[in-house]
Amino acid sequence: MKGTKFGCGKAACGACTLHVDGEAIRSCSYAVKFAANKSITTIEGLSTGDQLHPVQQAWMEEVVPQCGYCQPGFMMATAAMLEQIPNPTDEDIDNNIANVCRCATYYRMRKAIHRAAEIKNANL
Amino acid sequence: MTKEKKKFSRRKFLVRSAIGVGVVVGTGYLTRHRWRRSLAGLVNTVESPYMGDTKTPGIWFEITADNQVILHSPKVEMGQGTFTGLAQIAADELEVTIDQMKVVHAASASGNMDGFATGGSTSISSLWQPLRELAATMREMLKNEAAKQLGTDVSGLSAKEGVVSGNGQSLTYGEIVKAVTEWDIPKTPPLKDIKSYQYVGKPVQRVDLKDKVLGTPIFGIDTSLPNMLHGAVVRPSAIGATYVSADTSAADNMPGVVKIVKEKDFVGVVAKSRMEAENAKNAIKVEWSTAQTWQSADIEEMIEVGKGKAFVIQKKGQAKRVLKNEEGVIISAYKSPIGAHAQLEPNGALAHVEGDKATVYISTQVVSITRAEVAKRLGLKAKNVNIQPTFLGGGFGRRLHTPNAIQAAVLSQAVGQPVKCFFNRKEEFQNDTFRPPTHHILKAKLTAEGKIKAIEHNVSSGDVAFGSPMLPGMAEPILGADLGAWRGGMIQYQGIPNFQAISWRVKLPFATSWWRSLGLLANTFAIESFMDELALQADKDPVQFRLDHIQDDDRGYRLKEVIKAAAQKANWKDGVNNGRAMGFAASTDANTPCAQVVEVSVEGKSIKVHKVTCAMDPGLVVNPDQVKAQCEGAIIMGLSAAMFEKMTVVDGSLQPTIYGPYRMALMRHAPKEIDTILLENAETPGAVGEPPLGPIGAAIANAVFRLTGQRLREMPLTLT
Repeated sequence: MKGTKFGCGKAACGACTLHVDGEAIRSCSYAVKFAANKSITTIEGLSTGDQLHPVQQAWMEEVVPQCGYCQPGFMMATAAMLEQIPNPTDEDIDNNIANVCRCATYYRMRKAIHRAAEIKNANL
Repeated sequence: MTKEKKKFSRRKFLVRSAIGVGVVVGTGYLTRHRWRRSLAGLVNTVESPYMGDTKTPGIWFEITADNQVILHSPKVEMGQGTFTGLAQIAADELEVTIDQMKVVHAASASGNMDGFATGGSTSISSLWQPLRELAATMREMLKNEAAKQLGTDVSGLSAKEGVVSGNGQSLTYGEIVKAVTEWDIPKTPPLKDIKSYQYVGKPVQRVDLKDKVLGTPIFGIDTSLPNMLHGAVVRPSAIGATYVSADTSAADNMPGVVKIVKEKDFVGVVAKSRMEAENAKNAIKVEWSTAQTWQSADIEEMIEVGKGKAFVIQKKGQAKRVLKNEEGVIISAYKSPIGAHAQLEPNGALAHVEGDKATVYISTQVVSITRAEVAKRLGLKAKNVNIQPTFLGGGFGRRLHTPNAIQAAVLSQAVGQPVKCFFNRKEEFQNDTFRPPTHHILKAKLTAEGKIKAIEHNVSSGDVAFGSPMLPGMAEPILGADLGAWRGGMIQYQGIPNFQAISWRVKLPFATSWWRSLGLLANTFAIESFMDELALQADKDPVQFRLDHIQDDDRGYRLKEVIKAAAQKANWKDGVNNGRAMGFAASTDANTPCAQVVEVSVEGKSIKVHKVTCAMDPGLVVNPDQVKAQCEGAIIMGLSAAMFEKMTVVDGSLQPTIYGPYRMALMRHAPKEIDTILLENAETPGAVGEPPLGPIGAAIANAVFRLTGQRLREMPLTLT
């Protein structure tokens, strides 16, 4: 599985974000012992079979990725946020999504996050 | 030969001769200077030609039995959407659907290798003509073969959606190729009418979109081979440090260490895992030789206008004479800092050297240069070195350099196994090929009617193009001025009767090179801030003031149109409304003019950009959605550089070395509204990926002045 990326090794960029028991973790700086007996989800596990996760669907609709390197980390951070905050405001997004994207796809990402919330809530 | 074809050939000739002709050096001082100026103009206005094969469809297209077309792209995909644009262009002439197209990176061994680089916003513009011709030729080859196989005349056959049919018979492309042993390459057929294209001009979904949403694309750092080992090279943290010797005694017997490799210029370690390689590397004590302990103040002093070597790059009328008498001359100085690329995927490579052959897997913008340099270092024949490009985790000019490939290859050769060797983040920041700092002095004189009588731009910069391996050594004495450093540094308001631009070249003690848009970001910041200062002095509306100084020619027309479009769409209004002010700026990069209006507020010392309206004219637009995506990304990247980013030199080292302390725009800084308007006032595609970085810095600074009265003349913009 190659989707989880190394960016900085210091939990400063978020490229390595994955879920440990549903919580978004910057895995480069998370000791393996803390993950023992816990459920780990990476970008590869975000979709279910052919069914994309609402975040991935929204990312497709808004055509977010450019180089794509940081995108799994952003999608994992977003998916975790939507479990806590089903209808995030712009301020919620600003406060919770703090990964680094050098292609600076933030404009479309924000639109995609709002759209993902819509898709997810419609599916409930 | 069509008219278009003739034009292309001429362009190719002119630009090639610009770099390749040494004879000009000897033709006398005056001639040389005039020649430099005309060359400066040429390079600033003409797109680069494509420098690879344009005649052999077989190395570009692979047709599979299940009727897919695999385009082996010599241009790399680093986020700019080139794979998608190329797929659209090829599909339209090949007569296949976009879903039948797949795009992969061409390995150098395939023979389809770009002799230049992926960079300078040239991929689509330079391949527009050759790729259409290649695809049309391939289509005709398939039709000719089908005719042979069906025993019919080709004139009765037509191609559509990957099927050749006629006279009641049909064959898919996949069926046709199965029976072919040798292709005849016919003369280039006439190209289709652009208006009949199904995909060119449409917002086709990125061909790599779904893979990137699933996280499956393979970047350089994801590559692996059986029996792969991991390398780490000790790299200096001090500017100008050269390797002298290494004491490896503490590392020799560390866990996982396979071999310590000492070379004349570096020491590295090969180990079983990345972590073991890093640990052993950290235990090696290297003696470095450094001539001087540099500080930021040293660099700032070096970069001042007047300290380097001057070259006049643009001149019309008598600017020097008009501005000589200082009475009434308006003078302002601007600065930009050292910038880091900060792309997310660190640099590195996986190399596998086997005897006299080598393969290197790498995310690089320079395939042919990497091949040549690896071959040279290892003493191999270039044709025996295969460079396999991968997706790039960001390019931005950071991947125009090859030391990682060389080091990985040397380590692999030393152990006889594949070795992957990457920078860590600190090494990435300290060994970057930085955007050079700049210093600008602008001078102008206004007439009594408030028009610019004369203007002069002095830009002092570290090397950009001369800092990259792409220009042959010969280019330096011929060009004199660094064409990357002055990109965007010429006066675009050519209705002004007297103007000149002077580029000052400074050799800095650390590596500087291409950073997305080259000099455009800093030069436009300086010139367009100054234009607002002049408009204020002249008591004119800043938008109208710019329009009043644009010449009546094609270039001027296109610039005026983007300025008017941006102002109109943004409902341009000078002054402060509800705590927000608008700021305006425009630039011309290569042949692409771009104008931006920003809406800004200030809270305390914090600047907030709410909305950006961008009008750009890149000529024919192949994919409007992806051109807009480039505008949005470039605007936020430019905003990041203008408002936050700065490397400093502290006790000999470049700092900081991590995200966070190296401040960058994040989600919370990105404008919530970006409105992009695309104009197409040229018949062929032009530059896209870099031009929209131009105006943003000045536009923000101009808005901040309206809000606060503070004229910020230095990036990153900082209110006091």
